[in-house]
Order: sequence, then structure tokens, then C-alpha cells
Amino acid sequence: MANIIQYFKNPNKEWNSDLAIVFLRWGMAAVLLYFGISQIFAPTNWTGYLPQLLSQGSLGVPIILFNGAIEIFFGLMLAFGFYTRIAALLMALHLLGITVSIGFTATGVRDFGLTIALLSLVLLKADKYGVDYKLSKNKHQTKKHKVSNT
Amino acid sequence: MNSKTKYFIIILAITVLIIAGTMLIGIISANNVESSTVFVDTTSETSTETTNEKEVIDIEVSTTTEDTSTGSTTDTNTQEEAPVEEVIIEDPTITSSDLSTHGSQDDCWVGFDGKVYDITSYLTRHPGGVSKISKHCGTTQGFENAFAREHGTSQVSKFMQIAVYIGDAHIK
Repeated sequence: MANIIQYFKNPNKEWNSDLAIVFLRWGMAAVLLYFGISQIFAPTNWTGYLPQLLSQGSLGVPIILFNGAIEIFFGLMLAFGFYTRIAALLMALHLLGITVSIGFTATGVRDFGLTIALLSLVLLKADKYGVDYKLSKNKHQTKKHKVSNT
Repeated sequence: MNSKTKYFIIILAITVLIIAGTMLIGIISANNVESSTVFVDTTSETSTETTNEKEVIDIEVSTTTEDTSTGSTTDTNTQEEAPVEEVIIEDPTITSSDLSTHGSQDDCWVGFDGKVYDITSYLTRHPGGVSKISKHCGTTQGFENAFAREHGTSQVSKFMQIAVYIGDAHIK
């Protein structure tokens, strides 16, 4: 209990920054997976969000299905922490495009917030629970092993 | 095989599984919706009959002929011989008090562009969540403002597809 009080008293004290990154990563992954699955489940509900140029004719549903698949894939990449920075950057750009096209509405402001959250993931380091960390650690160990052998 | 490739394949496989599973569930639920749509259609037909919305009615024309020789008046039913008269009854009008009685999530009517629509069946399928619409059930201006603010005019055609027309709004 004293530790918790001390933690809230001292803003410079760090508790578990890796866990903080995991929360952000999984939170954004959940958002992307939810939207991706919703788009695959009922694509016609989403065609209205497309710019008029794209929603004309029979292109609307395939575009939404493709978009849903992409969001699921990158959502899983964030969930696993696999190429987190690239996945977060691509999804941030994607959401930024949506934010601009929607404009200053409740949905637009929400997407803007999500874009900023994804951009913060691009700037953060790999947390120890993700695949990126494990892969880089293995790579580092392999390099060390090679150097010691030579 | 490289570790990165392994993880890439795992994520790709999970993606494909999720997509396939979602599509399968989507197809199954779409079939269910189709059967319920038949029910909705039937209901709308019934409601059309009861509200006499643009209903053309063949009426029995009862003519009154006067017998000049006797001076008595007799009613003669000339249904078969007489020309059939068509009566077109105007669209039913919904008042604001009628509309406000359908202001719940289970029974959601909204006014839009001078007309009243039932959108109850669509509520749970709204991508922005049920609560975004349900708070405007039973209103005209509230719903129209929220709709315009969120979607502008981009979703009007979609709205017309999913909404069930009830009648003209007669809001004082």
C-alpha cells in the first residue's frame, strides 16, 4: 500500500513501463480487430463511410472486405508485438486518412485520438512481452556467440 | 525456417482463420436476417392495410333510383354493373405524441425529412453502437441533427434502405 501511495506521489517513479506499452499495444490491437471483424461480418454497414468515388458501383463491398482483412492482420501484429513500429505507423497513417476524410465530427475526433495513440507506439521501444523483443534478444545473443567463437 | 518467417506465417494463418470464421458466421446470420425480413415485409403489408396507406379500395356503389311512376324511392345495389370507383386515401400522418411513444430501443421510430421511419431492427447493427441512435428514438429534430453531425449526407441512401417507412410526420 505504501508503495502505491509513493508511486502516485512521485511522478518520476516508474512502475512497469513494459506493461504500459503492452496495455497500449493490446488496446489498439483490440480496436483494430473489432473494426476489422465488423467490416468482414457486415461490409454493407460500412460502405457509407467510403468516399463517394470509391463507394460507387460494386467496388464498395470488396474495398471494405480488403480493409477489414488488413486491419485484422495489423491488429494481430500489434497484439503479438511483431514489427510493432511498422504496423503502428501504417495503421496511424490509415486512421489519419480516415480522420481527414470524416472531418471534425465525434467519430473524426475519436479516430484522431487513436492515430495519436498509434504514433506513440511508433516512438516507444519494444516491450519485453512482445515478439520483437524476443527476436532482437535472440539476434543479439547469436551475434555475441559468433564474436566469442571467432 | 527463420523465426520471423514463422511468426509471420502464424499471424497470417490466424488472420485467415478469423476472416473465414467471421464470414461463415456472417453468412449464417444473413440467412437468419433473410427469414426475419420476410416477417418484416409481412408486417409492413399488414400495417399498410390497417393504416390504408395509398390503398386503393373498390367500393360498392350504391345508387339511389327514384321510381317516377310510384313516387317511391328504392335502393338498388348495382355492384356488378356500375363502374368501379377508386378512392386513394392519403398517407397517414404521425403526430409528435405518436412518435414519442416509440422512443425506446425495442421500438424505435424516428422522424427524418418530414417522414417517420421505424429503425428498430437496425439499432443493434449500427457500427457506432446502439446508444448513439437509441437516445434519439422518438424524436425528429434530435435524430436529424445527430445524423447530419455524424454522417452529413453520406449515409442518407443507406438510411433509406434500412428504415421502414411508417408515415408522414405531422409535428406541431
